[in-house]
Amino acid sequence: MQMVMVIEDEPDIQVIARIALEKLGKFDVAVCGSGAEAVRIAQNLNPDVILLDVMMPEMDGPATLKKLRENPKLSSTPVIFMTAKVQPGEIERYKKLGAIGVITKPFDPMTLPAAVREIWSNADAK
Amino acid sequence: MEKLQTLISNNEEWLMSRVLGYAQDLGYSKYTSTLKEAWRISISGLSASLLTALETYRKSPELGPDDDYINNPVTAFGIAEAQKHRERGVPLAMFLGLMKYYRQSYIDLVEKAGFEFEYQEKCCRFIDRFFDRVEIGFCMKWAELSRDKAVEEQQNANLLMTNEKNKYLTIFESIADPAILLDQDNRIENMNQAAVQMLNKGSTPGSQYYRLLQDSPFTREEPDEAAASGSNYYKGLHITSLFPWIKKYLETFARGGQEKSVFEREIKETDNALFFEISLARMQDVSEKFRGIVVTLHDETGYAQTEKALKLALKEAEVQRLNWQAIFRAAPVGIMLMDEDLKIVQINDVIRRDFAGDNRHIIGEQPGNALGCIYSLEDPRGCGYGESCRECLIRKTLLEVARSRETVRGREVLRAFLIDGKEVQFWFSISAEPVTIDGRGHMLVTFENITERKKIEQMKNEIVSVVSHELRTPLTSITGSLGLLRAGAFGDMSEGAVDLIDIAKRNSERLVRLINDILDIDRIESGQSALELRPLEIMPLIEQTVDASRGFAHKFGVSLEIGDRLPEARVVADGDRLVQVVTNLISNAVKFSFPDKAVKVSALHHGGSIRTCVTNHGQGIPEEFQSRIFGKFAQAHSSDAHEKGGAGLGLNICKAIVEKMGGHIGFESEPGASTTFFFDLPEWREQENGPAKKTAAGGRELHD
Repeated sequence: MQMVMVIEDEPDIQVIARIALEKLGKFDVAVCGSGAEAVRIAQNLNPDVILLDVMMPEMDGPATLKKLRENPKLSSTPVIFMTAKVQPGEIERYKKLGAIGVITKPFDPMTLPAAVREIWSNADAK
Repeated sequence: MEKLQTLISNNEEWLMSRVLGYAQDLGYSKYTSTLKEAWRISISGLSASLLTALETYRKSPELGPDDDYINNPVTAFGIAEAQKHRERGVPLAMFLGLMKYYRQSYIDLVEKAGFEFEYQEKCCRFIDRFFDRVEIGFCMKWAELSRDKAVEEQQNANLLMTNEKNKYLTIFESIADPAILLDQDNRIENMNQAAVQMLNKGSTPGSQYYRLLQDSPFTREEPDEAAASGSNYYKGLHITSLFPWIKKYLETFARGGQEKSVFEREIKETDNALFFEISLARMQDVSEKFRGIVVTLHDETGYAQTEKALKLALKEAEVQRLNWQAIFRAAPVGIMLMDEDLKIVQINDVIRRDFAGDNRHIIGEQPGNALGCIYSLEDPRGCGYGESCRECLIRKTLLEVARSRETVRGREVLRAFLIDGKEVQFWFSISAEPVTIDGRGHMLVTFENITERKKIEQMKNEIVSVVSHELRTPLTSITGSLGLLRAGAFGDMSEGAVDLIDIAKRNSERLVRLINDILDIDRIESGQSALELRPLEIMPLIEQTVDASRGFAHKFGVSLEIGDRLPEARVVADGDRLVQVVTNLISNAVKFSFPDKAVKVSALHHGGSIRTCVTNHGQGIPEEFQSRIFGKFAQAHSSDAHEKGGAGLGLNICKAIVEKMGGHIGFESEPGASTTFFFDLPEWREQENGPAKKTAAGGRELHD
């Protein structure tokens, strides 16, 4: 089974994401509450794809991504940002930071797994 | 005798004064001409003859017994003079006596010259013999004329004199300005008709003069009584009894010794107050026969009145100017007057107070320099030359108005200024109005500080976005959880549970929509979501929207169709927003349609606009609701919210969008039958319109 690592600071969103990805998406799910925690845990896990919230206290999404990339095991792991505001040019900006795509918040849990798979497969196709 | 010739030629003035002096001292001037000219002519003539004699006779012209004294050019002048004076009735004794003193004058001249004794003797001798000849010739001529002739000459002379007198009397009376002759005691000797009329007593010309001949000056009334009784007879009156104020002028004049004194005076002796320019002139008399003063009064009332009126008008104009200046200066917004080159001509107090804190040079400067705009500091040449100045919205606005001569209102600009050494940033709203002053194009520019308003706006926006975020976040968790449950993430649920979850889910979704609508309308109305206006074809947009709505309509058992088409018709609009409007109208039409009916969408020309119509067959809009229909949270029946799932903001949003695109929205409804909602947008034709892309009317450009 493929593993998704969800890095999200809000507990309720953590639960919803996990349930949606596990029950509907048939993913293995690991959840972290902060960028720091993610950097620590990611060493020992080996996620196939990472869902990374942009707006987090202390270490935001982009900073976390930078830190994660320092780990050679995660240097090329697909990362999808989750963010509330998306202006037209911002998707490109996030991609330049090293993400393969963006999922807007609030996300529909019913379609979350499909969205993840779609972005993931599009990135692979390139 | 050259020296003598020269002496005589060069001393005409001296000789004239000399003989005049003798005449005055000895009393001849009583009978002689009063004008200097006459004396000069005599001297001139005598001198000419004397010079001729000096040419003709080498030595002195001694008198021989057989000499011809009549036909001699030397004596010709003297003889002519004799004849003239005879005709005037001058006695021989008097003439000859005076002639002696002419002689004496020439002798005096020679003696004064300081020649050496012998030469002087020679000259005196010559002069003596010359004058002897003149006198002899004169006497001979005199004797020639008969006594009768003398009388006739006398009569003629008298007649001439009478005529002369009459002529001058006429002239005196005809002078338009009042003239008063004063004798040497400043009593009135005569006054002309104009003077009498000025004193508002009627008179006939010459009345003052002829009264003198009839009445004795010593028998009439005392001066003051005369004036009080209103009599016309002023002769002999002291001038100060008529014009008491003239006393000091006369005293000054007497002391001063000038020939003339001029001053201005208001005289209220008459019924109307009159302004006069008054002059006092000493009577021109070289022989001191008439000593007195001529008083002339020149009526300047008209002039004075004009001057008064002008002063009043100027004062009035000055008051007006000060009033307008006060208004201009006190206006609560900053106002500047600029010329077309953006040079500041005039500013009001707000500008000076808010910007000129450190006594900046303002008048004549470009706005950036005058106000201390930080962009103007970029280049040493100041405002307009810096990098940022190219995109400066202030300069752009002003140049636009200067060029097009059209008003621009309410451009909002955020800018930093250097005031009192500190950098201060604030928002202001700039408007510019073309105005013509002194025939040249200028601009009236207002700067209104809207920083407070902007702060409040920004605060409100922050609140709105924070609040909406805080509202939305929990809602997404709610809808998310409910959705997962409903999808069977934790197994199937009983029917009752499903119903309850559906209720919760539906209402959560309604809340989300409501929050989104509120945010949307706020953004549209505050101009934050600037519409991207482009010319686009209306039909493809309608078709696309209709297609997208078919699924929704199907749920209500309503079919969608497109009626009248306008292929290739174009409007200037924001595509996404237009879709939003059409979708909303279709959605409403479907929701309120009778089942199994069709909703029709059409496009047609209406005036210069393209009208898009959405028509349904349904319950229609109740009359009492029609006026509120485009308002916020407007719903005909409270139950609709429950059934139809709306919050009542849809039409409000549509109206805002359509109007921001320069259009108009409306409806026609027949309750129980059908309803048509329509909106008009100006049609776009290729050749007429300019640049295709621009921001919506009233849209503001955010800070640059």
